[in-house]
Amino acid sequence: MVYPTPARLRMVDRTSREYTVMLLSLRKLWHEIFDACPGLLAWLGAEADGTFDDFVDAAFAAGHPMDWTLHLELGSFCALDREPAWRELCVAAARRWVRECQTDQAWVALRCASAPGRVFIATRPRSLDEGPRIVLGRLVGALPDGGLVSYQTGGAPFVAPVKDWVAYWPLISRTGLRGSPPPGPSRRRSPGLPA
Amino acid sequence: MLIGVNITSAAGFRRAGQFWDDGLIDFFELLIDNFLHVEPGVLAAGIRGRPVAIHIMSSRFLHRRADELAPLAERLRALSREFRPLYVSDHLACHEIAGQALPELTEVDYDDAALISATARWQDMLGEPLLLENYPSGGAAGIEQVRFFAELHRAGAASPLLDFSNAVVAEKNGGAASRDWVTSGLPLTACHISGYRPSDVDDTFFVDSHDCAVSAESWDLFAAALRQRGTPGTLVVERDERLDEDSWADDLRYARALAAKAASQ
Repeated sequence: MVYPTPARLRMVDRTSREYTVMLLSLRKLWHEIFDACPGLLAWLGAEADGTFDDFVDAAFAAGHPMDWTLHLELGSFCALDREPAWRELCVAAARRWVRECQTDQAWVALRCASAPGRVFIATRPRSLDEGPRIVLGRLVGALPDGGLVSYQTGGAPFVAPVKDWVAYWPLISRTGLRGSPPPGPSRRRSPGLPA
Repeated sequence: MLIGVNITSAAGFRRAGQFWDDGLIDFFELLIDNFLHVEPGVLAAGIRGRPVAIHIMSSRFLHRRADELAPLAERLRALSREFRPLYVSDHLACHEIAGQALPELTEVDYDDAALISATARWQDMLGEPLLLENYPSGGAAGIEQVRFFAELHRAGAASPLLDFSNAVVAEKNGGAASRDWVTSGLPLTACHISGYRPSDVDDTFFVDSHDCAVSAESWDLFAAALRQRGTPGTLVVERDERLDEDSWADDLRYARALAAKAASQ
């Protein structure tokens, strides 16, 4: 079994079953990334598919866990400095955290240097007839040093995050792996997973 | 036979409630991953004593150490104590390769010697019999699926949750013959059925899309199981996308009619 990447897809016989299966997987990933970010998709325009291919190949090569932080990496990869794009990416990442991260934490909050003063919070459902919630808030205060994005999580009930922001250091760049991040938890391990 | 629907969201719960009020279903199958943070007492208040089953999507039990699985197992045991579910089921699939999450679940290698012990460990941690859903194989690698499930069952590690439509998709894609599930002698206590469609990349490759009515071939396989193996304990008619409640209700009625006809013969 091999991980489906655009680079691998290009090496596979287009008439083969392997090609079909791999392409369908990559399309699923494409939708995972861009369905949540229509503004970004529109901004990329004709560059969207090429950007997707380059980004996924780079993410795989960098050993990224391909988890909820993937949207944050995309923003870094595209060198985005537009607040609307980062708002979409942060909300998308938060939604995916709610959907996928198996942890006893009930909410995640993200802040982004390109969306100053904004906090993007996603909370998990607390009842059967309540879905996940996205809350857009405003906070003051600086991000941790060097952080493009910072995040924190907490248990229920949600309380305004006021401390313990953790900087997220992107793994991926257009030219390959970034330089080593500051010492800290393993960068391969998604911050959303239990310690 | 109890007939149920899958609940994956708040909207799905409301829809299932309507199906219950209309007399179309007998139980709820909760995709428990999406409700793990709901307190058991709050879940109980919502369920109001109606029968439930617990279906797990992303335990990733094949990928995680026991200490990583322990909190989830504890939570699931607590839910089982609260609800005494009709069954607890999970997926036998790969979620990741070398720590990188796959875009979608992928079929396991049935020759992997570690599969049975990992499954047995997960069942032990859950503290009750585990059912595993069969995979809609994408090709010949799925030929061994029925044989492997028989091995799993003999080892006491798990029993199948037979998805009739997944079995048909697997056969169409070059995997195991769907009728093998019926003739295998494996217990068929809990089952699923749903719609599938040809992929838009290659119309000879089928995907379990859960977005349309159940096919005639899936119903034929279900009917064969009824004739040869008797009525299963439960059947969930699944729908996740392109929700057409009338079509879904038709499938629920048809399933009940087929089972009633088989029971009368």
